[in-house]
Amino acid sequence: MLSETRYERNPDFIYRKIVDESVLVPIHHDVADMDCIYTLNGMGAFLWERLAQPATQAELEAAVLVEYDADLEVLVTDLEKFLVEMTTIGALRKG
Amino acid sequence: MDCPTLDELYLDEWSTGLLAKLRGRRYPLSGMFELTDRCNLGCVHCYINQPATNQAARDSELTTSQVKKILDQLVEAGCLFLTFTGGEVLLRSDFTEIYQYARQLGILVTIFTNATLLTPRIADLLAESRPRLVEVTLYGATRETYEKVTGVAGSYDRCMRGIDLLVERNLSLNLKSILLSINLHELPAMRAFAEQRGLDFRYDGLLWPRLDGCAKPFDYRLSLQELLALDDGNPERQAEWERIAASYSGQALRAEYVFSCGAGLQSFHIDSTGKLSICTMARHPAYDLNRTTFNEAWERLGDLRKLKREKTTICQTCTLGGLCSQCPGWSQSVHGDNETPVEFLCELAHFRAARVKECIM
Repeated sequence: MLSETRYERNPDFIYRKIVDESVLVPIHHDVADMDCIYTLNGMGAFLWERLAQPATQAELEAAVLVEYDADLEVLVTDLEKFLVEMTTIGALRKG
Repeated sequence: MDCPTLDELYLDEWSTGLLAKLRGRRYPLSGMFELTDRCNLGCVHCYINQPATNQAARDSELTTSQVKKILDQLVEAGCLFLTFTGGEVLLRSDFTEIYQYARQLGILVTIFTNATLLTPRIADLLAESRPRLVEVTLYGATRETYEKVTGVAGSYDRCMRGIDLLVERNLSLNLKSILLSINLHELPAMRAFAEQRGLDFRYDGLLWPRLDGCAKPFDYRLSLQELLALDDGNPERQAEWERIAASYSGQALRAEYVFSCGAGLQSFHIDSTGKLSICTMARHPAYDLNRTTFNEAWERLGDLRKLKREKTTICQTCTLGGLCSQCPGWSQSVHGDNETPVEFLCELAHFRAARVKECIM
């Protein structure tokens, strides 16, 4: 059963579209990571936009399944990794 | 990071990939934004500085809201890297507001400053939302030389304090110098100063005439021999010239187009009144961003890239292009047109080519 935890964007990460790339620019950041930038693929950018409103993993999973015609297991795994990594870097917060 | 939807990349690596993807297509990825022409120092060589109290210069500057409006448009157009420069940016009482606004938009900001007006409060603010880089200019390694250049008593101590404030907060900081006849002898000491603090240091020895046409900076210019000696004393610099010479060997880089450099391809310049030009030194033509949108002005700048040479000059057949600093900016500054060669640069390129040839033979 999926958690009821809601994920929300950290406003200290700014989403930018540069050329055809979707990137997250941290505006408050640890010194060690100042030389880094985060890039999102199509699904990552879709999820970020979807997270304009806080959402649970189940809600995000439902949105992804509507948007993408791909293997269910792969989509779910990718979503889980997205949430873990985005939370780890601080771009998403658990509400 | 093992995640197909998210990747963490080094900025330099990512930028290189992005530029490769653009394959020469115009895109306003980075820019210089002069927030003021005014400066609290009176450096003898400066191409732009107006006195801090110059009311006319102050009145012509963009207002805070005008700057913000331009920043909004830059972000809309895709600009990621922006350098705030002057004059001295910290002379503007709204600098921190402008800086924070740019950061909130997701712009990666570099700041050029003399550091003399830095306060703990400003340094704290920078530490909270870090600039990509702060570059501080050193005008000398000693109080005597530094202030001989700046003309302001007490400026050396204030610069040292400013550097300390940045270092204490572990901000990304580089030092640089412009070499003049009156500070050249302190180059080793300036380099050592940077090394002692673990900071990168770069320098340049070419002086531009003032934007108002005054050639006074040339009174402090290094001789050709002194400029060449800088290369001799710096193996990395010499190796870079050798690499450039090999890369462009036999090519007449300035044969056809006025702009053979990268100006206006992925970069732009905005002056303190809001005029957009192709680069910092080639300021004509320029388009007023108070009257036209950035995107419209950027498109019009693109026409400059298509300009073909009209004058017959030695540059068209010259194959030393990679070793020569000649560009439309230099021609505009010295001769008031885009193409007339600047004799000093021509001589320097020929001497440099001869030196490179000696080194590789």
